[in-house]
Amino acid sequence: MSVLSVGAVILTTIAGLFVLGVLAGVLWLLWKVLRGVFWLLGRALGLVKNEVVDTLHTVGALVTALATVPLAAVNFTILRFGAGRHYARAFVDELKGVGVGVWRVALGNPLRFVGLGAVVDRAEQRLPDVMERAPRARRARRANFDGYDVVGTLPSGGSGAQLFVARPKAATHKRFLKAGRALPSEVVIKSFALEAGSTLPQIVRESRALEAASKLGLVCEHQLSNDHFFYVMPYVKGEDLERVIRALHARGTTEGLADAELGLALGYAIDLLDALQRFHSGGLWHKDVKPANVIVASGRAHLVDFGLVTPLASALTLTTHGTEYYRDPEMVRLAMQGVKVHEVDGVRFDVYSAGAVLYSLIENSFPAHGNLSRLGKRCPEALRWIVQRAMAEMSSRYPSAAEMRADLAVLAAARDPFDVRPADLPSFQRAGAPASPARAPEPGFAPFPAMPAAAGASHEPFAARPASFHPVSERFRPHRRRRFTPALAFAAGLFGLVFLANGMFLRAARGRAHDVAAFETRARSVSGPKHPWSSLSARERKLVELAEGVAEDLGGKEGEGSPAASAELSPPSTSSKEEAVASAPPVEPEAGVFPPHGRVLVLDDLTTSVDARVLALLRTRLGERGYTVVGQGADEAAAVELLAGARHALGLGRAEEPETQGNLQRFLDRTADLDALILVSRSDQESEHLYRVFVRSPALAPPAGVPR
Amino acid sequence: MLSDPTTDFVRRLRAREPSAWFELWENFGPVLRAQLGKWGKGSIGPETVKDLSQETLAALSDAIDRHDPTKGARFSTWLLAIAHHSFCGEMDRRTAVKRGSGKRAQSLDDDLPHASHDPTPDAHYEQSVFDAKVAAALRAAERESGFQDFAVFRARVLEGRSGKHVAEALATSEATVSRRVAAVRQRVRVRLVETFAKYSFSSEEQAELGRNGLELNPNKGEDAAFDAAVAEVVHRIHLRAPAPVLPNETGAPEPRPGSLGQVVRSFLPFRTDPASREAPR
Repeated sequence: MSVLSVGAVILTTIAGLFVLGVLAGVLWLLWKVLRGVFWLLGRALGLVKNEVVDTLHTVGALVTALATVPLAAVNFTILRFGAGRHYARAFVDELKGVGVGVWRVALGNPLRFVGLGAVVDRAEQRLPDVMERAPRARRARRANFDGYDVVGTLPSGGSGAQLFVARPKAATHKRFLKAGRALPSEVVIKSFALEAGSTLPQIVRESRALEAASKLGLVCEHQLSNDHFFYVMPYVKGEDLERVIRALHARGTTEGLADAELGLALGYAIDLLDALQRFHSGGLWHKDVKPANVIVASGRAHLVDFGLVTPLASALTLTTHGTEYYRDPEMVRLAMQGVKVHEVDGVRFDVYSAGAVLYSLIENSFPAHGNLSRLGKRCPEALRWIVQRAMAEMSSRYPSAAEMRADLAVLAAARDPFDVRPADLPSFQRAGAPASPARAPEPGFAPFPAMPAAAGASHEPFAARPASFHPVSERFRPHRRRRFTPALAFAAGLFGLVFLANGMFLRAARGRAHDVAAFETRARSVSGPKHPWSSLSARERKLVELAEGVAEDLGGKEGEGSPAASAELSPPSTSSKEEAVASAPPVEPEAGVFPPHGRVLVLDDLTTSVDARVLALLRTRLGERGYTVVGQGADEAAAVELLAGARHALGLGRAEEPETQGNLQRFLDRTADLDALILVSRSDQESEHLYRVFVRSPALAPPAGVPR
Repeated sequence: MLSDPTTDFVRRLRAREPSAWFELWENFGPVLRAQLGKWGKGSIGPETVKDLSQETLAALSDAIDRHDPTKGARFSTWLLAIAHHSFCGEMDRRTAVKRGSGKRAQSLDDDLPHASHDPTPDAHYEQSVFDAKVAAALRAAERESGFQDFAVFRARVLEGRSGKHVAEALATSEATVSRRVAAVRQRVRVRLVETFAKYSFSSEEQAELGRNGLELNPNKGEDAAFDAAVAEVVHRIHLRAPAPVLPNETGAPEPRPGSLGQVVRSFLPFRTDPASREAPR
């Protein structure tokens, strides 16, 4: 009984469990099926709801559109054109609404229902964007500017101006060539017209910025009439950084930018900082740095829009103009206190904006919480640090765009930027970083690696860049705690005493060493492209010697000269300068040493303010020494052509940039009528003039003694 | 009962000190914009929200003279009431009908059934105001601390990285990281108390700090809880960040106040403004 009954109980239990299991399985399956059905039902109901709502939207938009038609017609009939245009625009807006509604009812909602929501979302986001960017030549034809053919328009910014793309007419090109300048084939015309809604304060503000932009050579020309004001700038054809950012992120993952895109983003940021550095060294503050004002063309980023450009030393009251989220809140606070522009450090405000742009590049969003904004997407630790430092409180921020650029350059040059630590950044090391573990400087460590600078060169991903870094793990050594023993205390005290005793001496020695290092750096930086001495002909050697000798007499070869010469050129006071120039003793001609037909062109760098008197004096001295100086003789037409060609080659490049020097050298090599070119610029502190001498490549120069 | 910092702040507001107004704008502007955007969803675009938040501050400058602190209203409620006043004013202007047109002016309550004359702050709004105060305290602490100190605090506490990771990144020791974090934490604590004292009209508002684990507590054992509470608030702030659309992308054209389209829309039982149509679902 017992065995049988136990067996029966076990069997019954097993059977019961089996039945329960089967029941549970069936219930689970039923639950899943029901869930699926309800999910489908929910989606179907969602579709019905969306269809109904969108249909109603469409009907509403259609009703509104139809209602605006008679109103527009009536207003046009009674010659109230402003109101008529208003209703016509409303009609167009409503028609767009109808279009969107029809699209959603017919295609968008059904496609979403079958799981193609991503496709629909993408189309709905991109299509209006693409349509917005379509050229609007029809409207552009209504604009008329002397000397230019308008070929299109650009979306206008917040300044109330209209932007036109135009091509200069042949006569305009000729006029510019006569003035020794070259115009690009396409230009942008920024136009303010009172009848188009611009206001007088806007025009005044822009014209003030215009003087500053002209100083940088960014504005070609400007015209002002009673009711109309416009100025002409070179046209940088490309996409604005906002769109480029979106495209970069679309190529990446949801985690953030992929490696190649990150490399591009760093390159754009470096370009932006280069441009800012140029502005700042020219004494200007851009004041409106944001992705929409950065144009990416041929793989490089260009800073545009000079509507708010302000001289850093301006005596005007600081205003709050700028773009929210890209403008430092501190600037607004200071503006509300009524401080003057020259009382604030505009450079740091531009640096903040550059940090915000860098944030946008990484996050595909704007820094909504200022410097507390969090970088949540994939980003190297060091880059995070750079953004935070750029957007930090004023006193902790990068003091210059150059310093921020140096940090970014280290990151961009690394094989893998994710291996670069904040502690490896040059600014971190300069800023008196916390006691670092004992680490010998690595051989080949380059804190300022050269970036690719060839004209039009685009930014390359990391793999193509030189490797300057090794992985963190290889370099990091754990911090070792030191015990503070009496012997150590005694040694420290002794060292302190010695330090105090020699403090003055050390400081002075450091100062001298710094001066010498600075001079050597400057001397190297201005040496420019030269050819091996042995490769030059005797004629070329004389040319180089004499050109550099003249430069040395005037301000010093390689930018450093005799005290007398410096005194002759560097005093800021105009009157004293004129006296110095007038009293300068004439240099004896060295006829017979230098061929009298040697042609030299003297060119000034547009990005720095070279004193015209210095140029005139240099030309005179060159003439006295037997050079044929372009522009000083009778052949004016040829001189204008040469000067325009050189200007075109120089562009807006800075004299110390290898790219600029390469451009000028190439220009010289292909210009048979020119033997040498002297480029005059000013140092960063604008305290002295610097001269760079270029000669034709030996292989291209005619043999010595052969007349042209 | 107003504390001294609050009294001083109100005095500065009444004296029309630009820095006080900017402080208010910087700290509570985003909260106001979010609230106005919520009220005007479908009726007003982002540009109007921005304008309205500025108008709210302008209205505050009038209201501050009439403010009676003895009534015990909360700071957040006071702010909300004025924002609501500005919002209703704007909607009133938009739906205004000229006198003599034979029609009765539309009632605001009819037009906006969801908005009453006596707005009640919801939990979300109260949370936003609280978070804004914490963010203000963090900003103040950041201004006081050195950049590296705050960067260490940010990485260690706000971003939750390990002490070892931060020490490696900055080539320093974990002990240094802990020391820097402790220094900034202390500043944050002090600033939190100051900020809450300044922007609180009632003692109940001031007590919020303690209720959220952020009181000024010298007990070292509470540091981890304090860090977690601060990190939680910062996390919430970032979650509440606006959608990833760049700021000058205003999207669809703004409905023109007073235009026929606007008037027609206000009578329709459904939304027809392009902004709502084009918002991705």
